[in-house]
Amino acid sequence: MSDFGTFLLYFAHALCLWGIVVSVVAINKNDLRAFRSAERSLIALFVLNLFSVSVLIASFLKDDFTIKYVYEYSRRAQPLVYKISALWGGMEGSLLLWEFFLSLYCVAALYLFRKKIFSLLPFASLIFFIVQGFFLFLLSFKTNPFAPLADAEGNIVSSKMAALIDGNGMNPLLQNVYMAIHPPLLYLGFVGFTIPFAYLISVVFAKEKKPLYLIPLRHWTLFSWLALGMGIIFGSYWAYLELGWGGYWGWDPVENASLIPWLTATAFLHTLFLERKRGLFKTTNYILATLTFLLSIYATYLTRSGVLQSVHSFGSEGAGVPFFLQLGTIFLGFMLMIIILSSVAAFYRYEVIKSFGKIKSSFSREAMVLYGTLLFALFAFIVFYGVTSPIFYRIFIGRELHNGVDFYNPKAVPISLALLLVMSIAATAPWVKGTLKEVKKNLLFPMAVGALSLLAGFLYLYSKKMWFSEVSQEKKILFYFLLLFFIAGFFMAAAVSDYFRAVNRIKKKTNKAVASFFLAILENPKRYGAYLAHLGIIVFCIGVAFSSVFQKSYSEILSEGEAFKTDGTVFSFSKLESDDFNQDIRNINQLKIWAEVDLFKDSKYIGTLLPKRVHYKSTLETNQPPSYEVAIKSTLFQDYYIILGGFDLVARKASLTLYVNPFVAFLWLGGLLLLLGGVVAFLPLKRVI
Amino acid sequence: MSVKVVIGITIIVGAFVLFFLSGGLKGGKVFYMTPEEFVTSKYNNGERVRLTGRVQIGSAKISTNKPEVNFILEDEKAKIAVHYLGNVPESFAEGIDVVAEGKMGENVFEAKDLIVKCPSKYESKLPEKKTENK
Amino acid sequence: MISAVLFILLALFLFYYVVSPLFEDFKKIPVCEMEEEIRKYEEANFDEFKNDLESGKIGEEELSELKVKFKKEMKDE
Repeated sequence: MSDFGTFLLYFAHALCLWGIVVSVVAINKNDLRAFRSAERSLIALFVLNLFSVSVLIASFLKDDFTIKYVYEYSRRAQPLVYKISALWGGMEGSLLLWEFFLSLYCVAALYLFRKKIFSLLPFASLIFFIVQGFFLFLLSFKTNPFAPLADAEGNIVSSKMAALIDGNGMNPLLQNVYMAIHPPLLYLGFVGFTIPFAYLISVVFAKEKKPLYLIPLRHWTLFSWLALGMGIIFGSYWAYLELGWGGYWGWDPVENASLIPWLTATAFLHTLFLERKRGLFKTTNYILATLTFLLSIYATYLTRSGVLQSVHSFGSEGAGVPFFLQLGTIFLGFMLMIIILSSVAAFYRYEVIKSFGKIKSSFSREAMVLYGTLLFALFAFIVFYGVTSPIFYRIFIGRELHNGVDFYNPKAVPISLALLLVMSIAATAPWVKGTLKEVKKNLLFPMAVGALSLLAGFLYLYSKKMWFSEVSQEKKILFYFLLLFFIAGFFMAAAVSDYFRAVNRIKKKTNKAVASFFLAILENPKRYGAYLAHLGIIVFCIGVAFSSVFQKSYSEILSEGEAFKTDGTVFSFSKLESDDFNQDIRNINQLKIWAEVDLFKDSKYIGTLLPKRVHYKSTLETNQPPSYEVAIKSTLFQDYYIILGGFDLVARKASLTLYVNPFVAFLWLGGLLLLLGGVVAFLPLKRVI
Repeated sequence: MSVKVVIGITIIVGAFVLFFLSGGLKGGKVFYMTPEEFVTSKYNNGERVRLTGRVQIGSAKISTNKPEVNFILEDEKAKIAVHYLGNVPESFAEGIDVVAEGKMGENVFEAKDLIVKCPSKYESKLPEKKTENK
Repeated sequence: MISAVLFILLALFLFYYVVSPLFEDFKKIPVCEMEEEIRKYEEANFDEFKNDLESGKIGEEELSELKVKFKKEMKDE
């Protein structure tokens, strides 16, 4: 099976080379035969990749340890669902999954909205073969998931031998539903950004000035943006549940790598909208499409290649591999090639991507999108700088740098608030140009509601005695909170009044009271989808603000029967229990130790939490400590979060870390609103006559 | 005033406000340092750093009634006494490599974070196991 | 052994599938009939503009200006 898989990859790679040739012929000679061969090659690529993925999954299910990748990420007793998710457990399989999604998307890009973009297809297919060719090159020659397992001397393990051994098994931290979904969801997003890039560069090559391509472009971008955003939120949720440090976002380089393209993609969504509506931002869109695509590639390289953890080498492959053959160099080379290609194309065909619209007023909605785009660019740059500068420090200065919370938060917070502010003002700003009278009329109601909301928020902080810890920070943080409350009220007022105005207008036309609520949405699904998504962002930010500033943590060592009291909350440690350690570990997957902690708030029983420590075969065999399983009790305004640290089964003692995290539910709620908004935006438009 | 000028001014003013609020673009860098580098004050200027080294065998004292640990972090050339108040990571043991992030206190290095590297090859996928103490 | 046979069959089939269009007579890539699409696009655009006009977001003067700009872009070759 190892050979079969490898040959599938070689064949697919060769097909990409063929595809490049026939695409070029199709473009140069306007040859339909070459074009049809190119289209068929794209379909064939998808079929080949489907076979490759199936073969690899089958190998996992059959415990085929002749394949090194299967040996590394699976074992016989591994649960079925994690044998499948082991497919994306390491770099080789992840790249295969990426390529599989890419080939699927390319076929879809060929046939969806075909009439609108038909003139672009020969050029787009060329791009598709180039990008797929890159990934298949990596898969065939550098990171082959089908590479055979070899022993320490380099002898390939035979199938007879493989039948006798057991694999390493996937890291227990990854054996979790959210972690299983997180990478594919991210990839559905990352990979999707190839299509807008391919379309736009084809627009330039084909000198296509009719803006019909905007419709598929917006659909692809929205879909990819939504998938990526959900993937990031899933990742945070997983981190919160599984990693056991009480938080959900640590500005970890791997987290940041996925955030950067999401930021540029968010800006891209807005500038695309303006190109459709006003013919503005055409050059910006070209740049953002290319940038988002490149950043997605960069993200997967950062995440999967280990370059961020490796202390001594640029490519993380060690001294044995020459510089120009290292993984990092190949990725860099590819990205450089794309930059050169898109720059040259834009330079020679600039009239194609020149905007024909104009921003007429510095306070208009168009100008707000400009400000927002600049803020997103700044945000993306700062995170990019934070992630990349340690690599440069390491290579050129020889020092190891760590950019953590103290680097990112002081920058991310004001930028995010500025973005929220621009977003809210934009909801009331007039299109094109507004008279001062109109502007005043639009602002009055939201400002009043914003002021009320600010007051309400302030009173809430005061009533809950949520004073801040350090006096020097207090004023700035208080200012941020009040601004956040004001923005929340302001935006809600603007969005809701806009919505009700539309509902009333439709009620007058149709005389249907209840239906008008839905018809209003269908009349402009993108606008109301956007309102929902923006609302989701505000809710999310409120969650972030409260949970970061007002988180309380306590570390205690308690004996069975003892309780810990703080602020009206009581953590009562009642029992320390464990599974039977004498059973045969070959037959079971886990051995657990857990503590029972009863929770009381103001003398009312809230629930019982069971923080655990879990031993897996790997931890027992290698004498490692058991992994952590956090216990969480969530209510709308508070999360109670307990980690079982050290434990003494003889002395009946446990070391517990207790967190009280306010407003965490708002994060996930905001994420849901974001998802809902995205889905609503996809609804078909139905105009009421 | 032309629209372009007003927009330009808005952007510049906005940039200044952000710069001021965020405390400058460069702050918050934390460098890794070995005990030798720290002791010889090669780069040590009182800022927060991440000390990397090995836990000296025989030096670790983990409290039994309070989550805290005192130990000596060493490399070939130097030793530093470290104090950490917080839940001690399970994988913490003498003789292993750890990272202590914090600042020099009065007599000992006060660590706010204690990070033990997971000895697994999934490093590129997993963040380090860490405990935080604000 | 079976995997080798399967692979060869798959390879042959895909090879045929991909190469066979080359054996037809030369034809130009047809220019897609865009009139219908352009009409739908313009209609959708003007619907949005009318929407904005009705909800008071733009004025008549801006509307006619936008109409002219967009029509120009659709006509350019």
